[in-house]
Amino acid sequence: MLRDVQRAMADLLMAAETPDERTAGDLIRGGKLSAAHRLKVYRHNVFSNLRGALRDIFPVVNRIVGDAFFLHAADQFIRAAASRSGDLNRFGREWPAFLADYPHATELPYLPDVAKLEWAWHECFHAADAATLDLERLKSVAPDAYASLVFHLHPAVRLLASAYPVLRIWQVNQADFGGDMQLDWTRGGDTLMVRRDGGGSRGGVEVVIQSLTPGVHRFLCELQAQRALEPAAAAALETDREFILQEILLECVRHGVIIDFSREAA
Amino acid sequence: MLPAAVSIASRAGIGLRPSHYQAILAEAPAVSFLEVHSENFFGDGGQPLKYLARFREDYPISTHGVGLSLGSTDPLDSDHLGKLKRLVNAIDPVLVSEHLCWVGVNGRFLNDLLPLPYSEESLKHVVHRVGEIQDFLGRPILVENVSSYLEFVDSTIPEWEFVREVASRAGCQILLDVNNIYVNAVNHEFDALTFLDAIAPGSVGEIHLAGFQDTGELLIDTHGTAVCDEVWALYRYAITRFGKVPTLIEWDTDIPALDVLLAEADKANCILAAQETEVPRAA
Repeated sequence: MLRDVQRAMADLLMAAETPDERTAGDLIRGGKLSAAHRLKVYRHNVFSNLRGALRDIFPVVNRIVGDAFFLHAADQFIRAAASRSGDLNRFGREWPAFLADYPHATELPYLPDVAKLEWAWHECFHAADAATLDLERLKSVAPDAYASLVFHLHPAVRLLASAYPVLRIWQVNQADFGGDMQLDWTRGGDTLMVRRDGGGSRGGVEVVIQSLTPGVHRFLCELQAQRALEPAAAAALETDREFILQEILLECVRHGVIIDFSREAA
Repeated sequence: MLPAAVSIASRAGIGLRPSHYQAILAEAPAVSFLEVHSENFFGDGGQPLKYLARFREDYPISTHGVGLSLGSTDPLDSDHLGKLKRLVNAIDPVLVSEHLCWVGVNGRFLNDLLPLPYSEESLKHVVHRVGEIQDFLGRPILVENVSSYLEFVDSTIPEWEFVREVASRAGCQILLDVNNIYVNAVNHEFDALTFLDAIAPGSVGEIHLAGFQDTGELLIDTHGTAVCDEVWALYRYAITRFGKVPTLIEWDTDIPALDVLLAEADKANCILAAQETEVPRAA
């Protein structure tokens, strides 16, 4: 049956051990080249494609660990996580979590967060476009109704917090980076926003990474969780006494980070 | 408004890759169409779709799928199909094609163009699936013969008969990859002309040309080099048999400067120019 052939083939392609001639020969004709050899070509191609997809999405992780380490880890991940879509752009969501548990990466504790940043970048690159919010609409809201407004973030906004200076790590590992590679590890962690920029009424297409104060980061996380303005602002103030709501709100609307609002569900 | 329709069979097209975006915008080369891998434009928005819409202003676009897993025994992935339809509706491609292969099974994707066992069972399955896809998209598709490095024990009919029968029974057209025919002819020791002669004139809606890598043991379809002389010879034969067919130069790895790709397209243009008839009607 066709289904049996496909299932057996998929198992052979993913098997940790290289299948022997007898096993491969059950499925594949020999001839000029053995069945096992022909199967090996496909095992190579399958892993090359999936490794390539990871390398395209996570170039900084690749640069940090080097090709040999990356390929070894990728192969383990490919077997453990399995691709679930015919669209390779969707492969790699679990790569940061895999790296966090990967025993050989324990000396690079920042690596999973760098991977999270790269996945966020990848998601923002493909995320939907959205029109910017008309400030006049916001101004027409009665002042006493503001507290219960729920603000909506642009679909291409991702928020990230790390105990490590991942933005600086990301920057010095860009292919075109030519400056000082020195990292100040005492500087502490990062609170970041990945978003799109580049102008235009429908928002830009260039992905940018922006460093946020912990207060602004907290505020946007609360908004992303669909918290109303008042509790979101309170949480931000709790994180950062310097947080100035009005200023940040306007900035977020101007940069297209906030694209819409609605009344809180009763 | 979209530009007036020019026959895309008169000149070759090229695969559109991000490394050539700026050069194509700057030079506006006279290619008759641009082909993209559909999945690279499955996102909800952003740069890929913005560029594609921009290129669509100047060129007909062909969408070429690598991940629908046409031949898999899993149910068709409705999410994948939905994204393909969204793209097709947005871009109104001149051609929509998929590979005659399977890409995953049991919900696990191998993301490689895996050949099918060529049997009556596979044929019925694929014919049914092509029908499902065409019904869903509301338009005909083309299916491409794939390169292969193995043959399954369960194969009972030659690949060329399988390809011909899929097109004839499913009512789709064939995207004939002449390089894949050559690669398979060497890898499986058959005469490439036997393949071409088995395909009905009128059933070929597009031809692909690409380069391969010779490992000494097998020819591997890498799309990473120029088209070889043997494949050009087969292409000349194909154009004589099938008439002027929209032709695409594929180059996906070690992508060269745009000029190199256009020089390949010009070689195809010379062969197309020498052929007088358009695509013959199906017999």
